[in-house]
Amino acid sequence: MKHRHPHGAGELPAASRLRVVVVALLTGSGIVACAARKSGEPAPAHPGAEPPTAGAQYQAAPAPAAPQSTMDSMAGEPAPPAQPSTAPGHGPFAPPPPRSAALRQASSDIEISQRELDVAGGDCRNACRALGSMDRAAGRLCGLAQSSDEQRRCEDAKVRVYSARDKVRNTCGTCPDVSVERNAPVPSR
Amino acid sequence: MTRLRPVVRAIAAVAIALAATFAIGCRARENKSEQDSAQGIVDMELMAFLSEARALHHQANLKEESNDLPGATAAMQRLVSARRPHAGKTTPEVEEVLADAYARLAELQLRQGALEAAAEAVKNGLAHAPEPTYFRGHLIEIEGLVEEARAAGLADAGKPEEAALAREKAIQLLEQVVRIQDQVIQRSLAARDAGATEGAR
Repeated sequence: MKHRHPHGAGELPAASRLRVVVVALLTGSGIVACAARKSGEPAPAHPGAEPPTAGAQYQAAPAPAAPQSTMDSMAGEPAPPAQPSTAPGHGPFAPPPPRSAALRQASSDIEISQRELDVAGGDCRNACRALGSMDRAAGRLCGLAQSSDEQRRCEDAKVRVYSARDKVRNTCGTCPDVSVERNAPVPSR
Repeated sequence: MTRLRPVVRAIAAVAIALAATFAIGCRARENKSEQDSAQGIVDMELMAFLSEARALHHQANLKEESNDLPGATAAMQRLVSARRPHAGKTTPEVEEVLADAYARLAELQLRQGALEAAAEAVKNGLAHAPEPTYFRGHLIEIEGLVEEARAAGLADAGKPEEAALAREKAIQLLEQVVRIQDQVIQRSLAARDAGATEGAR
């Protein structure tokens, strides 16, 4: 006759149960400690986003036409006010998320939006300063042109400037230091 | 009781294994944090250099505002001679700062009639901007202006042939600027369009 355990097949004796509970508690505390450490670390802002380069904080000195504005351009543009984010999945009947989690989420959203704005603004800033350099170079070139061959080269350069102005205007709207109007003189300033 | 011991042991073993796994995971995380911290120190070095660059540009602005061109030139010379972060390693941000500083230095020297010094500054700057970027285009723009000034000086000195050569060189350099900056614009706008498409998804 088989000995039947008095506590049933799924139950354990008190000592064994105590051991299991102790081990489970140790494991649980390990998990909690690990999670607590994780929450103390700065979360990555955006897994797919490229971190902003330090160089983004340093903007190049402007062209000879506007040497005084170096530090102005280096200071960067003020960011537009960030919109509060609406976290998905938080319906009207859902319990509100913990305050610290909500703050972290909002902070992360702001960082992502700021980065996207920086990237978009940086492309137009780069296009505008390149257009300024192109505009001045074509202007100088035409100022030096004397022979018919040099006049032709001047016209070729102007055509490129007009085309570049169209592209920059269509994408960026305006540029602070150079005209994007197709028919403006070359150089425009 | 005896039959259940292996069950208890098994549960305990699993629990211990889990605890060990988490402990290892935590340690790995700590190691990563330490690595991140070391990276942060390196970034601080870069940030210090960028901050110094901003301060020196600001100083040059103030000197230029008071028509002290030698003072502004000295500020840029300090920047190009400043201790660079990541010794022995090329950092894009540092390269951009240096290319830009050499362009401003060359421009300041050109305004003071120091053509040779300006040409030397352009040459040094181009070493930091080998790719067709705005910075390279801007440096070549200054080089074109240096050649234009040289042509004018040679013409004034009664050397028409040499002046014509310098003028032709200036035209070629300025044509090069137009081409480079055209490429820069196309690339910048393409990148922006790609970003807009990505954002719309």
